[in-house]
Amino acid sequence: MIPAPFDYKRASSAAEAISLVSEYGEDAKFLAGGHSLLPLMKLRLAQPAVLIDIARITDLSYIRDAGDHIAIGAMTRHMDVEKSPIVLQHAPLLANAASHVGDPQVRHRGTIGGSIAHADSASDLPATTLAMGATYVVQGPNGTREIPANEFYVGFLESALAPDEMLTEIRVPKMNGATWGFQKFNRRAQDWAIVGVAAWKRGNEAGVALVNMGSVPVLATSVSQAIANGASIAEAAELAAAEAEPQSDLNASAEYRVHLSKVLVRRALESTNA
Amino acid sequence: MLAAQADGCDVTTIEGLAKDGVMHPMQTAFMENHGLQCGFCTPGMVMASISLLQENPNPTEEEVRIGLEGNLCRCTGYHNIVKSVLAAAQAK
Repeated sequence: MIPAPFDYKRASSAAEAISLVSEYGEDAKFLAGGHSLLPLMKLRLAQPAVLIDIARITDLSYIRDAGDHIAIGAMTRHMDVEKSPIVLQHAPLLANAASHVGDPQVRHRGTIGGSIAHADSASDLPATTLAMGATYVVQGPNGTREIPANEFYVGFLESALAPDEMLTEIRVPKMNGATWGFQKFNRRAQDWAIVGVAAWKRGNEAGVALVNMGSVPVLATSVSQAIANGASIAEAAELAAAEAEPQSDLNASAEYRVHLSKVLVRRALESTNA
Repeated sequence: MLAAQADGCDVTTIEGLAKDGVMHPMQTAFMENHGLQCGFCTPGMVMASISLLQENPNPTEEEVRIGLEGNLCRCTGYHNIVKSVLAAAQAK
């Protein structure tokens, strides 16, 4: 429970944070809310030599209506996403998913950018923003670039972020009246999902992504394709795991996860939340 | 979080609630409603309850239960804890 020794630097701006990480290279990690990284450090599964604390970069904490999408600063806390009138109105699926993260203590410290940059397939927000077709804005020594969510998750806890890049903004398309459902199946309150589903549907259009159904969050494109081709929700939901490669663990076998994903995708798509 | 991250900030603990020997209204509500048994979880429950009422001054019973998630009572005394928080909200 005691982390390996590390040095601690605090950045007061995104530019300073990137300059610090360029200086220390792969030995450095950004510390945002600390609710994913610090537990890993205490278990010594992560042993960064330098932590660059970005928690006081207040100009990365915002939620803005940007026309066709909502722009959310990477340091925005889960609780602020959950309660934001703008998110509730235009991206209610994201607000609901944020309300399912951990418990209130976690949601007051944990950040949307930290959760996404950590790229854990068992976390709720990577899959949710993937289902919504989000774009992530990242800043590096040579400026900013945009990474579509469906190109961001490349492996277990591994993203398309370069070591000297920082996630700064999450752009979520407005849902424009789509119905949506968020399903999280776990055995104990506050646990990670054994399987989770974020889904929206507008006529023949649908976006579906799966939580904890493989080493990366999974975009269930076969389901969306089936809906586009006129399949019923029940028919489409049978294809839930077509893109997934779930693992077996103490909580569930891979077969059970496949079964759960079909049931939860059906429930999420049948939901009449709007 | 790391202690170093709190550098320059104020941290309020349960010891900082009473003013001049007078308990905080939430502490009084816990006392009057038998909101504690062994007392082990009580500091966390009281601090989380005060934060909850700051954000939502008139919560429903369900909102109190959701708002206290993450605080475990090993005596399983949740009923009176929820009652205490609702009483404190009423007393405001």
